[in-house]
Amino acid sequence: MLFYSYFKTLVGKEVTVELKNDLAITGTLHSVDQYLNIKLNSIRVVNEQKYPHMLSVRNCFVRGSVVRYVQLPPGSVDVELLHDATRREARGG
Amino acid sequence: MWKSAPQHAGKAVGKLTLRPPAVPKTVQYDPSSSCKREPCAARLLFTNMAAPGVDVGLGHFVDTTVSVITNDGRTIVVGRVVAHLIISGTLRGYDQATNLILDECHERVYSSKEGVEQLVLGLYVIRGDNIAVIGEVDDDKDAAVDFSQVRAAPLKPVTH
Repeated sequence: MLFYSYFKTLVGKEVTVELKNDLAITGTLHSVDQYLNIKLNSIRVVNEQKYPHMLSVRNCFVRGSVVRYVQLPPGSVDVELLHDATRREARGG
Repeated sequence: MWKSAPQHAGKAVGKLTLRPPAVPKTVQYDPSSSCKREPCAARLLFTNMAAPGVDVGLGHFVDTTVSVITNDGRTIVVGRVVAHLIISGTLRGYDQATNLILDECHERVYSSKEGVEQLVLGLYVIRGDNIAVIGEVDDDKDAAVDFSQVRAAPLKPVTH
């Protein structure tokens, strides 16, 4: 739940989601749910020449289980706070 | 063999105290909080599953044309290597596990040698764990694409 609440703070930011099939999609983070399923608005696929499969798609839903990485905008992470929260969760809240 | 039930099973053990079920507390990341170092009650918020007003489900996809990228690669057309399924159709229903019911489906088979081939599939139910991406199709944009000219290698299957 820590990373769920963390991702919720990123709503509205531009992120790039790299999938486990090597497709990378950049878009505005619209929402995230408890499974870390991600919804992106106004997307574009990185390397559109190679991957024209989503040319006519503007908004999409990415299943959390196929996400490999989420590339975040620099400066949107308070590392110290996240570090602190992670430690507290490891201690059991 | 089944283990025999513990001796005290079914009997009252000690003094029974009734208390409300424990509400699970979860640690939250909340940059708006002012305190930084010491653990602070304000940051140990109860988790609300969805922010109000934000649609996290798939409800808004219902009765729209969607493009689904599935996890599995499989050969659809004889003589073509592992084709990745891209299915478009009208979404009729969904559930928590992202299982989908799609009507008027067709598959787009991408190839680096020739244009996109469209295969008619009809009504499909796709199990959620096979789904990678569900895209909302802009019908005007989709109609403008000349798929006979699109050349692309099929997508790779998802490897976990």
